[in-house]
Amino acid sequence: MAKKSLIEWIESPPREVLYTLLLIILSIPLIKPLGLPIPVSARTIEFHHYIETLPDGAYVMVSLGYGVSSQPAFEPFVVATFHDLFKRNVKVVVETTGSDGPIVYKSAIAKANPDSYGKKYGEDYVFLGYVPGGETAMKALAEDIHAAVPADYYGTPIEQIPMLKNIHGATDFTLVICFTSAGDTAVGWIRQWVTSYNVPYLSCVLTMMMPTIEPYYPVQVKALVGADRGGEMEFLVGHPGPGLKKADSFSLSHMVLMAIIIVANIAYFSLKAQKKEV
Amino acid sequence: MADWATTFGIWVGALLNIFLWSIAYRDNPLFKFAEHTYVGASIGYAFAVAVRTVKVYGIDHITKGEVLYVIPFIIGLTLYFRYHRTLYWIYRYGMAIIVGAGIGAAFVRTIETSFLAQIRDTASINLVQPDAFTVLSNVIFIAAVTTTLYYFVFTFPVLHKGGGTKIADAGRWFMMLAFGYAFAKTVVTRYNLMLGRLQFLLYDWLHLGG
Repeated sequence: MAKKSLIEWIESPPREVLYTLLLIILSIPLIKPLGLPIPVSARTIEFHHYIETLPDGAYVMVSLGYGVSSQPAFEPFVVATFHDLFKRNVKVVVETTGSDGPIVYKSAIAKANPDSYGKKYGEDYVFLGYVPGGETAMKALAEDIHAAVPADYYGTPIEQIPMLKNIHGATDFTLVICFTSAGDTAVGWIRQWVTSYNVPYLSCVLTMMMPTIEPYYPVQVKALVGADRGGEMEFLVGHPGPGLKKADSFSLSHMVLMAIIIVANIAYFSLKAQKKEV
Repeated sequence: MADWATTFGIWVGALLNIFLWSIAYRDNPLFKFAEHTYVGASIGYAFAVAVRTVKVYGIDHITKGEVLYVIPFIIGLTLYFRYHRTLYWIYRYGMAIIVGAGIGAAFVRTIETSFLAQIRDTASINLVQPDAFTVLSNVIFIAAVTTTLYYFVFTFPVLHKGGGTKIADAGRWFMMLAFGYAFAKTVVTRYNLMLGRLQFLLYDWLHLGG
């Protein structure tokens, strides 16, 4: 096999070299932040603003529709949202539509630490656990929570949970927030809670799902953000965390990727020109 | 100082993470080991969750005397006939009921949610706006919707001849732009996931930065 020339190597570098290069470049800002500017997008401000303007005593349904495989992407945003909710006088009902949801809930709630806001389990927030059934579960929750979920995640019967005594279904909620890595889940909440009961809905999805959910924004989804905006949300709620620490690496990763695409394309067209000359 | 169980967990997580990333070099036994461990752990967890779900949402109701909850059990059991050589057809009834209930719950609202509401909102776009950017944005939006729809009108071949080709081409360009946007978002998602794991390795395992 003929040895590659430098320009051929640049045009198509070995993937292990690319990955190693990326790994090194992305690690540096995580260890020592570069302090690159972090503009907060209008979408994240919109998301935060909606929570900020919730009336006292409002009930918020939070659905964690992601599992451990996408936990690194979602957790900064989810924790920041919990901080934002627990700061206010609102009641938070959390449930998951994924079987590994309880794992991600426990991790996120421990980081948000509701106790530090004086919030009590069962009075200010409750975790219903994994509610099986996908969209049929969303429908059942909207119609009657007491009939849909016999007990919370820890086995306490729903009727014994003080904050849920006078709550029956979607009409008692002021807002529903869904964090999900599944398109069906994001749209399922629209179908069962927005179309049917007109409950305002905020959605945080895997960034790659944004084009799929975009058509529902801003009428059916009041605020739509990608999970990569966790750092911006941490900044807005005043709780810097892993999302904000990622910001420099994010910016750098985009610059490196663009540089690689440009350099490889220059090499590609140079090779093409050389072949024409021959 | 973290207790030994946490430290052990971090080491196991870090090593499995590195083994999984080793696929970037090439397929190898360490990657296979990590992959099988991940799949095995996921199935084990899913099984435990399934047992809990059957208890909480089924058995607990039956033991309270709500006998109608026997019906979902029977429907569920029919699914296991899938593995029987001659009676496998019975599983189709269970599957039909499950699929039917799912479609029934979603279908009625799908027409309004993903079809009528979209058409209504697109049709109600007002081109008269106070700022030029919104006007331009709305014009592009309407052009993208109409040309893309035009591209998919195959019933009348005459529409894809002569000047009509230009409209269909414009639709194709808009779609290519949308796919580019979607692909860029996919790259961002992958970076986000990778950075999350990298933070775990650097902060929790190696105690660098953080």
